[in-house]
Amino acid sequence: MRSDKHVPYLFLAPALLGLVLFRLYPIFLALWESLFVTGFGPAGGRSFVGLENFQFLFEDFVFWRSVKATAILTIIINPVQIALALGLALLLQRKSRNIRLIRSLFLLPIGVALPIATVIWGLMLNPNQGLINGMLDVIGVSPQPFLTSEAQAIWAIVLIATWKGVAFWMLFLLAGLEDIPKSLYEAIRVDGANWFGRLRYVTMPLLRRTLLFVLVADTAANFVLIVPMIILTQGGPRQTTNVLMYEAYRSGFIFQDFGRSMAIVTLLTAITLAVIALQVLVLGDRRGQDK
Amino acid sequence: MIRKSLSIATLAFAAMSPAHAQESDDLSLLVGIWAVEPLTPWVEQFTEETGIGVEIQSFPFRDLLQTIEVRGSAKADDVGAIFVDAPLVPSYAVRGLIQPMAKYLEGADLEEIWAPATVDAGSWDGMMWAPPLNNSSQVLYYNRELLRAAEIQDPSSEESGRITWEELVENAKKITDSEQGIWGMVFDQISRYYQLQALPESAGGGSGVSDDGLSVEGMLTNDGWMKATQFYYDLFNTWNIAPKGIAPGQTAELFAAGKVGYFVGGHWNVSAFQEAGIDFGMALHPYFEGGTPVTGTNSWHIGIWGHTNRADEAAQLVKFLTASPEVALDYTEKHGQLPAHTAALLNIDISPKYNNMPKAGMKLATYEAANSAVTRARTPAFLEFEEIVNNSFEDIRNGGDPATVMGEAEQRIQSAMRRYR
Amino acid sequence: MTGWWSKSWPVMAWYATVAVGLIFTIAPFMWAVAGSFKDNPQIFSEVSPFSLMAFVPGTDPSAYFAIFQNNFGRAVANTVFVSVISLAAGIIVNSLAGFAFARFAFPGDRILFAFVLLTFAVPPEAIAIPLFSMMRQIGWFDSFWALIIPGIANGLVIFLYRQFFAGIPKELIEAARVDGLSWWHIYWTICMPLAKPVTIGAGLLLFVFQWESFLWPLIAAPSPELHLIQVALARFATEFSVIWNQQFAASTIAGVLPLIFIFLFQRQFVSALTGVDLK
Repeated sequence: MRSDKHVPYLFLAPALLGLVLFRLYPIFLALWESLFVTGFGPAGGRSFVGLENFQFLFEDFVFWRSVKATAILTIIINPVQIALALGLALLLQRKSRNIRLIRSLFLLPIGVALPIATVIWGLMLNPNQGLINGMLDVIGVSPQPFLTSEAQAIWAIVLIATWKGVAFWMLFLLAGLEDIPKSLYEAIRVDGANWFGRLRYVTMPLLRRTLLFVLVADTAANFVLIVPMIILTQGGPRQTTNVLMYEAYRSGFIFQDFGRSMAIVTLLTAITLAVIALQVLVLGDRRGQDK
Repeated sequence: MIRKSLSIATLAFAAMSPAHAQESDDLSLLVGIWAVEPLTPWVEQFTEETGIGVEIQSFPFRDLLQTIEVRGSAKADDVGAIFVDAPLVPSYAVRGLIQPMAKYLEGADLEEIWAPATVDAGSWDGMMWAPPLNNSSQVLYYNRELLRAAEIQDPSSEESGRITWEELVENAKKITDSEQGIWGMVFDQISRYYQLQALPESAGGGSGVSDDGLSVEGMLTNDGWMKATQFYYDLFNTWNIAPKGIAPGQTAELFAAGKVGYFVGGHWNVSAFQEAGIDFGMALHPYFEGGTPVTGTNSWHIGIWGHTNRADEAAQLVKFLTASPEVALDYTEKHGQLPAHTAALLNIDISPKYNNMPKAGMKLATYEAANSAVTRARTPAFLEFEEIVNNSFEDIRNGGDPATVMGEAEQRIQSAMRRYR
Repeated sequence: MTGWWSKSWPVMAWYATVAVGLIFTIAPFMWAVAGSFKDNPQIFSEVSPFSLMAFVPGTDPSAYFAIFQNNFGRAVANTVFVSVISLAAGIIVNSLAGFAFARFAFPGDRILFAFVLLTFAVPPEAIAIPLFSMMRQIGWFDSFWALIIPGIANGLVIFLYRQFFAGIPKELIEAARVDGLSWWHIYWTICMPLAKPVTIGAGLLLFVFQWESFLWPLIAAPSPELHLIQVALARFATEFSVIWNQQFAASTIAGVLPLIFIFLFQRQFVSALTGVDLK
């Protein structure tokens, strides 16, 4: 019989090559290129500057404002999305006559790309002629500035991303809910627990793992949320939506300062990994109780 | 099955070769989409006269800038000459995207061929890089009906009667009627340095950048800039005579719809307003009381591509398009562009065609271009400068404190400029 | 009466909540699609004062003609091209890897599989900027290569195939080996036909991934002749910010095509996306 030893490697080669080159290598490339600066002065050219890009970032108020914007967005958007996703999952868990149709309709935004959602919501939220202000007017609320206001812009972005994303996270939670054995509910019902009791003592503990997964994945996804910033706010007003990902984009592609851009990407990747690790450590420690 | 898929894949991949690998001896000329129709016959004539084939590639404004950056970073040598937006001349020159034109113009008195301000705009480091093709200017439009209803006199098109910002604001307050969605005034290029530079300049604040183009320290927070930015803040937040949340490009429509009293904007809007059928007039651009009359301006230039190895031929083309009086006259007469060429400027002055509307608007624009126009800040970091200043104007419009916003803008630009020193 | 009420109020509340949620979910679609068939003054007049007519489609298709005159057709064609190639190449490359992980034990298999799983934990946006820099170095910047090649290898798709192939009975494959079939034959003529449901789901995933990509094509292929649909849409929205009906029309076209696919293959798509089997 022929030797099969090389076969798996042959089969794996194209995919692994792609993953190493286009997924792994860029992470290290970002780190490497963050050590250089491209100048246009008389000295000109690309030069190695060590950690100067990082040092420069730490002294730059724009960077710190960007950190703040990212922190605020993260703290708002993730709980909002997960709470809504969970609520929606509980809502749609119920068996009803038209449940398949209703579920499908709620899933529609998953099929709509974020740029589309952003463009349409941008028009909905237009302060002068947008649909939302038109509807608010009917119930007697004065027109709101939305994306042009320092106080509201970040919420408008949360709204857009949530409209687009909540159904996606809901799917995982719905699947988690359906995996919970019905007998457990029956048992606790016999004990006289009401709806909240069931939620507290059966649903939540058994959904813990799914929730943790959704929290981690959602957090990672929202750290790189950038489409609404590119299309609608350009980081404004007054840099309140200038999250790190957008600041990295702007440094590179508007200001042609790739050293700075790569430094931010490197920091962002590190922060993302750290936050995820923290979430897993804090929330994932009681795994034994899941069973 | 697999053979079929593979052959499809092969075919497809053959079609994927990089986008610009055209096999052609033609010199390519990258232009703005608006210039294709006027320039095509002249480019053909150039080919006839010189035997040099030219391929015109056209792009909308943003795409043009982007394409130039892209081809520059690829060091593409298949480009011959490019359109250059005036304020980007230093940036392109410093980064090697264009080559100096000076040696091809030796012996010529440049200010005899082109209006002096446009010669300045095309120069950097003491020499000519990109000669001007056309110019543009800002004027004051007003809605006759709205002014009459508020019992306000038409603004003047004579220098002695040029309206001040202070006067305009008082009038605009009377015109504004938020119930009806009527606004007192609006800018064409709202929150864009391109147009708003006129405010600090008129208040004595300067362009915002030092003479060597490498510093903004104290230049965006001086008295003139503070007066101008406070004024801009008040328009939207104190007096509420101008609308928030409307982007550049939308404002002209607002005026065309009869919903704005005063519209400060480019001379090229005339025909659109005529088509809209509103009763409007044109007057000289406003200035601050006690300050100087200043207008924003923008010329378009053509430069030799930095990475071309056919610079001599490209230079011939640039010279032909920018320095021939016939081209300039045609571009002005038929296509309503404000000329940079002195022959075409003279023609506007003496030809009776320019005494009536809409062409009379051109005369007004020519007057502003010659007497009140200032070039934009001259700095190789213009892309960064403009982006940050535009954002700052927009933040102020949305209620940001002018002193804080401009102070931060100054810091940000100053640090962005470090890479150019 | 009270008995009826106390029994049915949860049902009523349920329906009310679902209705509110659905309105919030659906209204943007309806407004956009309806508006794409209107002229702009009509769109604005139905917003203030607000009228429910805003959700009723007009009859004017001119916005659609207008966007195609504005080179939108090119973007659609580019996107179909890129998506189809990515789909075909992605299916083959990733199913091969999935097959190797499922059917062979070889030195390093666990580490390599863990690496594959890790790659889909890193969001593509996070590496877009360094990847751009890499494209510039190897000369793929601003070409179809940059749009297609980096997206082909996909950890999630490898994972899906591995899970499926691992479930194919051992006996089937051993019998084929005894008959002298090569591994390639086993993979291509036995396993791949069985994997059809995975292939549909994974194919849809790869297709939609390309169809929806934005940041990457925006920075990797900025030339107008290479624009993909989402980039073209965004450019439209910023450049023609006043022309709402055309933005609606472009959004509708960009949104409808994948929605049709997703609707047709909803179950496969959802289970590919989440590993969840919707019943």
